[in-house]
Amino acid sequence: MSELFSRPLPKLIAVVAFQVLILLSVLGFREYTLLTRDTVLLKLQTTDPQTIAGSDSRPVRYEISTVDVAALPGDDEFMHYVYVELGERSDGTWQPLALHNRRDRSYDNAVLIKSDYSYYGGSVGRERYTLRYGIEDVYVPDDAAASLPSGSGHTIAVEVKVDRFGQPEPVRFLINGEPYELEER
Amino acid sequence: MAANAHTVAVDDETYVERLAHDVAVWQHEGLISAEQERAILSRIGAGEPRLVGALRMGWLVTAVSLIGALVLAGGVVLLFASQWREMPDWFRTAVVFAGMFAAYAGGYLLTYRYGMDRIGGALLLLGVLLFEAGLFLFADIYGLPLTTANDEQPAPQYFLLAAIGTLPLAYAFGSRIVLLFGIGNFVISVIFWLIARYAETEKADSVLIVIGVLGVALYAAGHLHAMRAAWEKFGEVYLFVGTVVTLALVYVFTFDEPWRSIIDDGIESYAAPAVVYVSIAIAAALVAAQFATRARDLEADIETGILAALLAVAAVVSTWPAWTGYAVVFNAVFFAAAAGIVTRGYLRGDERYVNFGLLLVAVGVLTRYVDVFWSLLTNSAFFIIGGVLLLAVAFGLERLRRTLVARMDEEASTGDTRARAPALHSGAP
Repeated sequence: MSELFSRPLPKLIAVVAFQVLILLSVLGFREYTLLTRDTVLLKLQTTDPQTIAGSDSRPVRYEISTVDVAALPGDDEFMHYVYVELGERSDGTWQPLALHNRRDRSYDNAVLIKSDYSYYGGSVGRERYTLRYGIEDVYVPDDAAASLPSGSGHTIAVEVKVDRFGQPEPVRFLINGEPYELEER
Repeated sequence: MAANAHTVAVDDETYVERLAHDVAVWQHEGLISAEQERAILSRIGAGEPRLVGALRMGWLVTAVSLIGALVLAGGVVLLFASQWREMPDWFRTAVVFAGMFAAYAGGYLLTYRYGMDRIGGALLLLGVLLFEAGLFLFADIYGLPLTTANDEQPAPQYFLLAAIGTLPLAYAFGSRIVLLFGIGNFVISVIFWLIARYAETEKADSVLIVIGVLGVALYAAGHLHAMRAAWEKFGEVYLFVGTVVTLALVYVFTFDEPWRSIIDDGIESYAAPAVVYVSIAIAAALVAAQFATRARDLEADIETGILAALLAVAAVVSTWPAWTGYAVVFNAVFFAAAAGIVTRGYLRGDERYVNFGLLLVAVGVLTRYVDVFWSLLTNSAFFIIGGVLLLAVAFGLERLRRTLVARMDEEASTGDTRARAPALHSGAP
């Protein structure tokens, strides 16, 4: 065996195989993060299902798309991203518990979701930021849109998978608890 | 057996090429005459001018090949960066693997089929560069974060993985440039990890000590490589990196600012995190191990003493950090290290140490000049006095260097060739 690896070709093959394993371990870790994702339900600001119907609809706004930094615990200055720590409500939807400058959790059973941010406006005691999670360009496809309920007053939410790094991936709409197909633009 | 013979042949060839290169430099500097240069070249069987030219060209081929590998790897990464998003995931994954395999296969064929070691070695380096680029590209493709939790530094784990994947290749194929690359990745991963872990805590300054301690540990590891003849040449790379890393940190601590910042931040005694003491303990174990395994002579004793003293300083500084006087201590350490390196070069008859030590002296003097006088002098006076000072320092250093090198040469020519021989054999660190 040792004589085999004293020859250059088997030695090279062994070393390169080791490097390939290391590269594959990155892929393996990604699979692990996908398998261990948390599921959260994010409520939309709109209550009219027709606003999410079809590929021509406008980007959605979540309840957590605007946050008041002054009203939430955690950091109040941010560098690159805002990490929103989410906690589950009794109705199954998720709300912001705290804001962080980095991937830190301060509550048990909380989920961290990553967002870009822009300053929205402030007044006495309020510092509002608009957050973008990269999951705003979602809609119900045209063929399924016909079955959407009409009118306002409905509870519309998006089921989202979030990995350990805060990367979200939208899965489906839930309108009044009923699942609807979701597509991304 | 065949591999050993190949290694010996390559080492001899490298030695002869290095000597052909060195004697040209010595002749140019007036240390030896043109006749002596020709005599040395004849002695190694390279008296014929065209053969000498061919031998000296070997270094050029190495340099051009390495630069070519670096430029090619840079070009591939830039191509990926500009066109990357438009390619499908499977294609991007395949491109990373294909690039690596092609570089390694080319390196193998050129080295072992066509005897073109230099270009083959450069392609192995290219393969390693593509491997590391692949780690970051895979992370990017598959949505893993490329930065630390505060999104400010590159994620250290990829540098660590690059080091883990690179080091076996360096040892398996005896490549010092690949080893340098691997150790560099390891050092970078430690630095980024420390920053990510401690940057936003009050312990940020004291953990910087770990970097200096890492340098000492690498230096000791370099001497441990002498235990195995086949690994001896790798030891020089560790010694080089260990010296540079330790001196870089010592240099940072020669300024007042880090110490003022420690006092301003209210960092108290005994507040250093456990990682500082664990790293000092590991480095101390390595220093002790290298001392136990080395042949006992005055140089080994002094060197071990210096390494132990550096670790003791690290322990004291991290335990009781709030004192501005440390800047003076570290200035003393920096200039003492520079003097030590010059002395070692002189005693060993190795010009490289002399040049490196004198470079450190120049950097130290220039730094202190800028540090002290930038705010005290007007701009014009600062640059005029600085220019004159630089010229004076350069003049003094060159005179000192020539005196030392000439003395080394005299000693060598009066028969004390034992100290000189290793210097000629040893490759660049």
